[in-house]
Order: sequence, then structure tokens, then C-alpha cells
Amino acid sequence: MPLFSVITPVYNPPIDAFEACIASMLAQTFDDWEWCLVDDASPNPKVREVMEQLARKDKRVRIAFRSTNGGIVAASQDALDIATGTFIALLDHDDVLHEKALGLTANKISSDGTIDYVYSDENKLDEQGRPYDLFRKPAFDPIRLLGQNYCSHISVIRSTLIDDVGGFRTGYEGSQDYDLILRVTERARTIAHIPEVLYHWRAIPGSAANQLDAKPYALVSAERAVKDHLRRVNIDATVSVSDAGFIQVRPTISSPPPKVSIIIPTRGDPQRVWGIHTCLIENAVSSILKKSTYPNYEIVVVLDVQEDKPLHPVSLPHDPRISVVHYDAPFNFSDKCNVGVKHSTGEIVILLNDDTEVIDADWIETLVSMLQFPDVAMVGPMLLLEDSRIQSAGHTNIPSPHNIGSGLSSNQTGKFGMFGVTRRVSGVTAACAAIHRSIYEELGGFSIDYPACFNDLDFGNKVLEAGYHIVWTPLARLFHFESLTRDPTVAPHEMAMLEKRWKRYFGKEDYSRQPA
Amino acid sequence: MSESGSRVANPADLRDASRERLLAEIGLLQHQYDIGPGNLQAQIIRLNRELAESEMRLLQARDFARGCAAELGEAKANFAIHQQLADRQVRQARKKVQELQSTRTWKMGRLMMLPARILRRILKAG
Repeated sequence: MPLFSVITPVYNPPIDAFEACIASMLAQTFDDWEWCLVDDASPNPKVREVMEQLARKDKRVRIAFRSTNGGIVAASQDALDIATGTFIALLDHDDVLHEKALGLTANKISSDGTIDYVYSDENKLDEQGRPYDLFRKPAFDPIRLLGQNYCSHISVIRSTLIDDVGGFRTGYEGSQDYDLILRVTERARTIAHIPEVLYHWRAIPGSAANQLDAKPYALVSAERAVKDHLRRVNIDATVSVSDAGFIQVRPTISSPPPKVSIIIPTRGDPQRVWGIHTCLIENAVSSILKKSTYPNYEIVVVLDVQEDKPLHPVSLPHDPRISVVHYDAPFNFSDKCNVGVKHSTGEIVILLNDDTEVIDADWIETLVSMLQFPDVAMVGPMLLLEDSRIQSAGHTNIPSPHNIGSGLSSNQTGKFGMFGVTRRVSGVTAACAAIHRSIYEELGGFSIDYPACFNDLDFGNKVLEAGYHIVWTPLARLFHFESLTRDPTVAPHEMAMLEKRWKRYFGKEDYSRQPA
Repeated sequence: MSESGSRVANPADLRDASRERLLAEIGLLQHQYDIGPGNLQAQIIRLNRELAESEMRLLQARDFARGCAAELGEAKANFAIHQQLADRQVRQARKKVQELQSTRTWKMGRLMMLPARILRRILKAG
């Protein structure tokens, strides 16, 4: 019984691409494999000829021919039925494996006996066979997997697990791999990611690699696969497909909806926003009150005062949901957040800068919804600059901690959908972040050792260190008129403090390895 | 009158006491513990402030504990890096020694010193 059975459904591939695929299999540096190819009644007789020639040449190759065309699911399942290996690797008929693909996967598998599923980084090949679009994938992220099949190629699955979940399913044509991966990852004991490009995905006209709308039926299947998955893992959620072709999942908020406390520390500064002299806190509060549709929230404004008088005149609407807490200590953003949280009563707190403005009416619903995912402690939205470019799409530690996507267009979904899908990140900015109150208190809130900068980075690391997750979502958007309110200069002691606690994570990143 | 200043030794004695007697007892207790209506309000405010300060200190203590754990993690990571570095230096030094010992000069020197080593061994045994 070989370690690997590589399975390949074949249907009328361009012969040169098919031969490149074959060459890459035969060039593997690791020998303990078999290759199961099933031809799905290809009209081109050359395909059969090439397959028969290959089987004669290498005894590890097993071929079968379907008498009628049954589609990719039937052909994949037929290939699976003749496979005898301990692990099943999925290979498309026109793609190319790196020569060490199976060898490195074997090393990974041998390092841990509980590994049931392995995936790797990948890139694409253009029509001339030139590599492009290197996809540096994140560590396993079940939330991102709901939005897109980012694991995709190469996928290697323990065969007993494939048997347990029932193999490929008809009715999911075009997304049969996605459906299988969702079912497998639900049950896998350990999921491993190899951060090396082991698979080259050929982008030829009509292939899914080349364009999203090449196979619209695949999106319908993908949406159904995700809905099925959510049912199986008992997550009640609404599922839709975005214009860009990503699945959007919003877990249902419990009823009655939990109370949300929006904490806004402010000095009451006026600034120019879109050319108009604006009191930032008044603008932020006004946008919340006018646009938000969430039924159960309060706003706690933590206002700097001197001798009990505000530094700047602030006029907030008379609304029972608004309370103002006076803060007369020297400037310390972290302490102000902590004081605000202490004066609030919601189960969920949203820390919000005063230089923000709500865009989406359901922004609170979305943030609260994402906190319903298991072990998610903190959620951040898409933050846009005044000119609608991205201000922050979460944090990354590569090469050093900074905002993802800063200054890039928000009209595009970014490389591999990084601005288009909800996903785990190593941190989000405190300009807008929703957090479970219990976890905020458990972790000691924001550290007052960071009066101005890095308090959110420090808190994010505390969240991750405690075993929780942080999620960023593009489904809630706010403007963030960044650093209009204070000098963005970093105090050396704050950097020193950050390094003292977390330097080991600088330059290391599980989730946002892909440069924006 | 009890030691604490109240005229009641046993609160059960007040069960059937007259209204006047009860009011007198209340007045006495208020005087004894300085809890007039205005004063009580001030005490509540003070206690609430102390409670809030304690809660903030608790929050900071939790952060401090998390911070210490993080610094410990940092120290462990640094230790691992330095240990790796030291291990590599030891390996390199051993390799250099092996290279030195495999040179012809070293081998010849060792051969020339053989009688001296034998003599020393004999003297030691004697």
C-alpha cells in the first residue's frame, strides 16, 4: 500500500499541458506513490493514447476509462475508488506538481501521526508556463475557508477520513474539492500547512484559476457546500455570495441581541473633515445615531476635562443611550478606554476613535455577529481613509507590526481576496474593535504602559497568547480619519515595552503572510 | 446599655418595643456610626469611588500578570536563540579541533611525544 494515491480526473486536457502534468509526477523525488487517472470519455483520442502509454511506462500508474461522460465528480470518485494509498492527493489534469511536493508532504506527515489533512502554498502558470500569482497562504483558518477555498492546491487527505466523510458528492460540481475540504476539515484531528509552493495551477481560458466567472455554477455549489458545512457544525448563519464571488457568512445574533457599549475616548478636538470644520466626537456620535440599526447599544464618551471643564466645547445630542465620563488625568488612551469600559454595561464593547464615521448601517450587527464564531475574542472592520482608500484591513507582523492594505484601493478585493473575505488576523486596530467584555477584563484591558501607541498591538498579542482568535471583516466599514487627533510620533519607551513583551513575534505571521 | 453604646443587649428585645423606643434606638445608632442621611450619601459615593479604583487596579494587575508572562515568553525565546548559537559555536569548535588533529603536523608531533607520554605513565604507575 503506497503512502500516496494521487487522483486525477481527466477530461480533454490540452495535450501539452497534460504532458507537463505527467512529467511533474514522474519527476517526484519521493517514490512511494501511485497515480490514479480516470478519463471521463474525452472526445480527443490522443488523451487515451497518452494515458495508456504512461501506464505502460510506469507500473505505479493506474488508469481507467469511463464509457460515458459523467462529469468531474463522477470521474474523481472513480479515481478515488481505485486508490489504495494511505493519503489521497488531488491533482488536476493540466496542473504541475513541484518535484518535492510528495517528499515534503511525506516529511510533514511523518512529523505528527495525527495529521489528517495537509495543504501547501501555490502559484499559477500562464499559457506559456510562466509562474505568477504566488499565494502565501495562512495557517489553517476555518473562518477564511467559509469565504473561499483558499486551501485548494495541493490538498492531501488521509484516505480513511475521505471514506468516513463519503468521498466526493454529486450536486457540487465545480466546487467538489471545496465541499470535500470543508467536510474533511470538520473532522480532521490535525491540519497542517506547508508554507512552500508545491503546486502550480495552470490558468488556461475557462479554468477557474484564470477567472472567477468562468464557472458560475461553481459558485452556486460553493454556497451550498458552505451552508451544509454550517449546518453540520451547528453554526446558525446567513450565507450569501458577494459581487466579487466570495461567500459571506454572518452568524445569527442571539435573541434578544446582547447589549453593546461603544466606548469613545476624546479630547473634543475640532478638525477639518472633507474640508469642513468638524467636531470629531460630535460627528462620530451623530453618524452612529443616524445610521446604526442595531437595537441595543449605548455610547460612552470619555471626555478630557481640566478642572471639570471640557478642553473644547462639545455638544452631544440628548439621548438616553449617551453618557459622558469626565477624564482629568494626563493623556493615556489605554486608560481612557479602560475607564470607558468600566463605566459601561454591555456584554460586548466596541472601542471607537472619535475620528471615525459609520458607513454601513449594520456595522454593529456585523461585528457582533463575527464574535459568535467559536473562540473569537476581537473583531475589526474595514477602515477607510477620507478618500476611501484603505486605512486598515487588520494587522500583520511582517516585516514588523503594521496595518494591512494601508493606502490601497478599497474598490478591489486585494490579492487572493484578502480585502474581500472575513478572516483571522494577528491583530486589528483599536480605532474600531469589538471585544467580549469578559475577555477584555480577563486580559487586563489595555495596558496603561502604552499611553498613545501600540496598545492595540499589545492587546491583540494578549488575546492570541490566551488562545483566542482575532477576526477582520470587510462586511462592516467605517471611515477613519487617521491620526487627525493626535501626534502619531511613537514614544521610544512604548516601542521598548512592545519589544520587551512581544519581539519574538515580529516578522512572524500565521495569517497574513501574503503581502498586500 | 451594651458595651457598644446601644441600650439594647439583645435585638430580640425590640420585637415588641414602642415606636418611640425604636426611633430612639435608630437615632442612637445613627449617632454612634455617623450615618446621617447626607453623610450616608457621601459614604456611598466614596465607597463607589474606591470600588471603581479597586476594579481599575485589578484590571491593571491582570495586565501586569499577562505582561510578565509575555516577558517570560520573550526571555525563553531569547534563551532558545542563544542556546542554538552556543550549540553551533561548540559544533564549529569541535570541528576545528578534529581538523587540527587530522593534520600531518599534529600527528608527527604526537608521534614525537610518544616516549615522553610512556615515561610519564610509568612514573605515574610507580
